[in-house]
Amino acid sequence: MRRRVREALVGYLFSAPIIIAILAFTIVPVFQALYYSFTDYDALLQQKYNYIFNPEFSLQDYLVVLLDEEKPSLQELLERFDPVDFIEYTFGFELDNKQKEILKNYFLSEKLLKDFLDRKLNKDMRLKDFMARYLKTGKRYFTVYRPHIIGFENFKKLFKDRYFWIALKNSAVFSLVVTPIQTFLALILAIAANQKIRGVKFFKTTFFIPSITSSAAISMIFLLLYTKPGLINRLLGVFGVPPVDWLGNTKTALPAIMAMNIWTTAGYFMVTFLAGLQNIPSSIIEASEIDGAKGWTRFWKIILPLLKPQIIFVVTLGIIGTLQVFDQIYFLIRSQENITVSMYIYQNAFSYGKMGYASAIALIFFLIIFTVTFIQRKIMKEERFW
Amino acid sequence: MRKFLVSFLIVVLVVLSFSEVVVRLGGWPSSPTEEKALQEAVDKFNEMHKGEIKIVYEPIPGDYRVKLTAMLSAGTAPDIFYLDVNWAEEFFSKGIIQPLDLYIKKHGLDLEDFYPSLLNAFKYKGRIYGIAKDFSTLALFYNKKMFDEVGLKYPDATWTWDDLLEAAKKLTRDLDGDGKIDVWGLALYPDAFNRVIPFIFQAGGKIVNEDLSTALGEPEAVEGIKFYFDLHNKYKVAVSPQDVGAGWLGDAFGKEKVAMVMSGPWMLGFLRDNFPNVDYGVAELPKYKERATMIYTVCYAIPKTCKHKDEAFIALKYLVSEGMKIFTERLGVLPSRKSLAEKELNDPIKGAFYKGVAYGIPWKVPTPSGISSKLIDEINTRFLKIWNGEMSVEDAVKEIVQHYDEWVK
Repeated sequence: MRRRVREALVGYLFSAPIIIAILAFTIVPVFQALYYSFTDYDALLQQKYNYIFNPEFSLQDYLVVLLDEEKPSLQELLERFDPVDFIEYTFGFELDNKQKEILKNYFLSEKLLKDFLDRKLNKDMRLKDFMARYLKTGKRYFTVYRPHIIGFENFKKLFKDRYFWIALKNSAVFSLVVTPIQTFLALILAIAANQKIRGVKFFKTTFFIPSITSSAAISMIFLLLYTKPGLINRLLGVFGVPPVDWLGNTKTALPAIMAMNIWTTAGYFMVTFLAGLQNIPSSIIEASEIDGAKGWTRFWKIILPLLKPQIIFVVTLGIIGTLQVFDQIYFLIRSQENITVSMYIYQNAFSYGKMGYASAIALIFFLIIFTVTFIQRKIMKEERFW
Repeated sequence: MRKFLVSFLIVVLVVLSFSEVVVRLGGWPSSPTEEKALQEAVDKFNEMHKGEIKIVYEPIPGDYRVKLTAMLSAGTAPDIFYLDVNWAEEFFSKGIIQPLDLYIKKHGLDLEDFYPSLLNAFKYKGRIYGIAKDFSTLALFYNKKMFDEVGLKYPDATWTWDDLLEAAKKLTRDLDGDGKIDVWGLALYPDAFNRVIPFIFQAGGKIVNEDLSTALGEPEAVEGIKFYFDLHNKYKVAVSPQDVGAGWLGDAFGKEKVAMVMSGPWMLGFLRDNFPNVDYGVAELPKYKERATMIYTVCYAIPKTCKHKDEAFIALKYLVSEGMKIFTERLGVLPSRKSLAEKELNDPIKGAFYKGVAYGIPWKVPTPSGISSKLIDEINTRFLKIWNGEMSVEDAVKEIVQHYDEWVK
């Protein structure tokens, strides 16, 4: 028994680095996001009780008293001093009702002002230490930043938010258009790359290059391709199509990015199909040939069914990947009408300062992706026959 | 004996290095030149304050605001960092930045020497939260060769909207006679609120009222917005940089696809390095009922979590005094101090930018909550629609006024 425990312990010890990493970077954040989605969390306020200040300095400022020049009486100062007002003035944040109540009832104003007059306060202090010193009770309300729990407010707001629905629609369209095309294209590329022709390695490399190129670099290239005098418009100009500002126009921006996304991902998924194709035993192909299956029949009846695991894999990853598309949107999209959900989450979290709301969107979006993937797995599994 | 001496020396060194207060300085380096210039200024300070204060410059590349937010939230933010006037107020309003008024009094800083508009840019509720490190304003860049070709006089300070429009009409030309326009009078950004704001003020309008409610619905503001977009939609003398295959205004101007752009001093270095053969001049923005331009500026600020505020302020004071001299001279940017700007005021190129600081407006949209990012995104989205002809100026303004309060919450 002891040995088994020890063995298990050693095992866990060996896997500890990855367990800790997953806990710290995946599990904990997931639950934090869940918690934040019910709050008005603001990352910028995280340190608010660690603010460092010099009480003498701040009190002089607040009471408009220069101790070097005058010596007011304690009574006089007590009349002018209001702890709630002092904290709010000095630190610039608003206190909640509970905190105000605590300050009103338990703050040792007299002690503080006496220390002030005795010049004991000329040193840097953290706000929470200051509170611990001058509060009779209730200092726990001034130690850690706790966002306000606001219940389902974020979710209620979300359902009324026009841009959430626009973003959701854009993400859905993006996924519904891109996933089938990229899967199909990847399959074609794989079949092409699987031919025994001269220079096949060159083609494989060419197909694969887009997916190993940095997304930022690709975005910049397409930014130029899509401009009015860009290559694409010049090419279309040959057929008499008037030039379009592909990325500037709200109607064409998203389709333009979809095309670019397909171009970058098709090569990546080609590798998966290529591996699948090469895994098909030649005996099966030969047997089918003897049975008279040729060309299209062989492709439809033999090869495609045998590629099913790869198709499921590619479609699943494709759906998840397209629903989460962010970088290309971040680089190229200019109008709020064309954002996707992940972009909207980012905007809310990092530029609008609404981390709680962003978490709520992320949570809903997670549920959507989860449901879609779940349904998709159900459907695909039923058809399994190998 | 020697061993003892060595270890004694080490102890002394360690003690010395610990007695030195380290002040971390963070900012986004907009170019390697900026990084070098700031480092040079920092090195000089460190030499002067050896053994007392040491500034460690930590450039923060990439998405600066996101990274700074994360650092502030984790309590690892630098002791002095850049804040852009455009979103600084959000940081001030949340109470995370140290007001500097008392430190200015204690350590002395001659505020008189700074341009008032730059000082006011970083004031919030009557307190000073940051000191401008430098600034930029918008001015009118014009291509001398193109003006000569059509026989036009160069723009000057007397120029009005009418002059701008007339010149732009003449400068929009089909060079090879194939019936297609090859060069345009102007390049404008289709979706940049900050480039439209000068027009709003020039037309006598403003963006917010005294009580911080929106003033964009007023007829003056609408007139300004309308003129900006009419240049493209009605008069067809302005294009976007993308329309001529350029990445931004400077690129379009350098490639000589457009005769004029309204841009800032950051164009100077770009044109010198990439298009040295373009002969250009710079004039103040044309006026209409009023004179106006946009001021872009960045300040140095100290967070409330800073452990050595006095030392940080001494470092900050240096950075906006002797440090600013080194920094702005090396980099060629405009100093926010009048005394440093003096010798460049009549510079034929830079003069126009300095004149703008007297009547310019800092690029920010003051709101009751201090938050304006969402509002700006929403406005830009509508401006792009106006530019594309999908929406009229009146409808866009109506929507903006109608939803304004939701967006600034």
